Amino acid sequence: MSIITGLSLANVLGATTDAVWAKVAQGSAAVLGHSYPTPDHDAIGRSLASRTQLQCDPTTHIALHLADRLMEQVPKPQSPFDTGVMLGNTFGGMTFGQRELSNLYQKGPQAVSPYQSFAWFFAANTGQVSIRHDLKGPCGTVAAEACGGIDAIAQAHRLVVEGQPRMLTGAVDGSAAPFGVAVQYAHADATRSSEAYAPLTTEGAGFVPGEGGALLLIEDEPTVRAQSRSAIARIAGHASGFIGSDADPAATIASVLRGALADSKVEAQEVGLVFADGIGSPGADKDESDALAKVFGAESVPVTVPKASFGRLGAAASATDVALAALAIQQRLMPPTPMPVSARPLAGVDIVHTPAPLERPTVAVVSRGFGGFVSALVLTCAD
Amino acid sequence: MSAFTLDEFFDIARRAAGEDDTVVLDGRVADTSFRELDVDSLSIVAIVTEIEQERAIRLGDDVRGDWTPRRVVDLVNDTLSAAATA
Repeated sequence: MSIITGLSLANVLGATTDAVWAKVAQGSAAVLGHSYPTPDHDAIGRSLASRTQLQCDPTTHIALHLADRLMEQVPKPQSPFDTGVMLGNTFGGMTFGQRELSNLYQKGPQAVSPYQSFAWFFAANTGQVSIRHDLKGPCGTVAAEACGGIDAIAQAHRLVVEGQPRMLTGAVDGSAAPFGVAVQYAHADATRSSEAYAPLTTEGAGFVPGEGGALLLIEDEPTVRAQSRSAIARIAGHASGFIGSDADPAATIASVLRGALADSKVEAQEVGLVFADGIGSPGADKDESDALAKVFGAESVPVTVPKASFGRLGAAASATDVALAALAIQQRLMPPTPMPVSARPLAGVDIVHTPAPLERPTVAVVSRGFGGFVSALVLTCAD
Repeated sequence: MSAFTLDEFFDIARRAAGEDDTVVLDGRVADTSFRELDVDSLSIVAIVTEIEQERAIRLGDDVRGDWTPRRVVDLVNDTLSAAATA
């Protein structure tokens, strides 16, 4: 088992974990379509030197800001090899890249920044965090669209179980550049105009993309206990799968969820809350709610999608859900799902619509990545 | 064409390579190597390219980590003089 000893979040709701959780826990309004929610870049840039800001995409600025906050939460490692970095990513440095493409076309090759050579790269967040904090353990980047975060966390978990003392994991993702926003809104399941992001409800009309991230520190449990340090939650298990072109999406999602429960040695009835993926379009939501009914029974487990209040953050969508699930367990609180006043939950879905106590501190997180990725991860209490 | 100065160099360096907590790019480090200033090879490319753009000259690929700001300023002025007499 690996345990989560540190968390750091940023999105439109706030640039610190406390700010984000305060809004998520009490419930915030849904984000609206054709907006692009991002964290406050002025607040984030303040903590970074000009040299760092020049060389990196704005999403990498977020990653470095979050890593700085995260490393303050744990004792310094004994060796740089104690800690590795495993992050999910989808968009790389698309904002930096579009600016340099503009420089290329408008002013010529001499005007292209040499930092474009690495700023665009999907692994830039992993690399820059590793360099900045001297983290020389196993490093990598997982690209599986929204599943990138959860799968990176699962890989980090496996490394810790196999002997790596500590891993910095999660994801920071998105792109607010015109090209980035256009690409994200071009997806068939994105909202078509200014409708609210209203997943798993009768008014679901698609997702709203956004930018942000969640980084987590996970460690070997016996070592942390020997140091008399506390943990936020435990990562119990994970499974991932793929929805092939001829497959039944609900059956595949159910199979992956069951796989994660088996890997965690947790029975379905022990789960107290599910963080659903919640794409928000009617077809995708029906598949997910059918899958949940197959595994848990209809309306048998509370389901929540807080991402409706800060957007679907690429690979950080699932990483943020894992971080929020950990906080839900630690605080014994189920954060609500923003719902338009006129909306009703989809049939068979017990949506958390106001904050409520978490009765059973075992939480499942479901993630779906565009292209067919499906993953699930189960967290348990580490008190 | 006016001579290229250390002030102009540092102004460009701050814009093209930036500063951090450990290094301030100004006249005090005119004779410190780029390596000691933690200005890496990509940052050198960024600074040299910016100088080339602003002064419409080519400086070649010789600037390395063991060079100093003053040595680059001398190279720029030598290149400017050569272009003027050509």
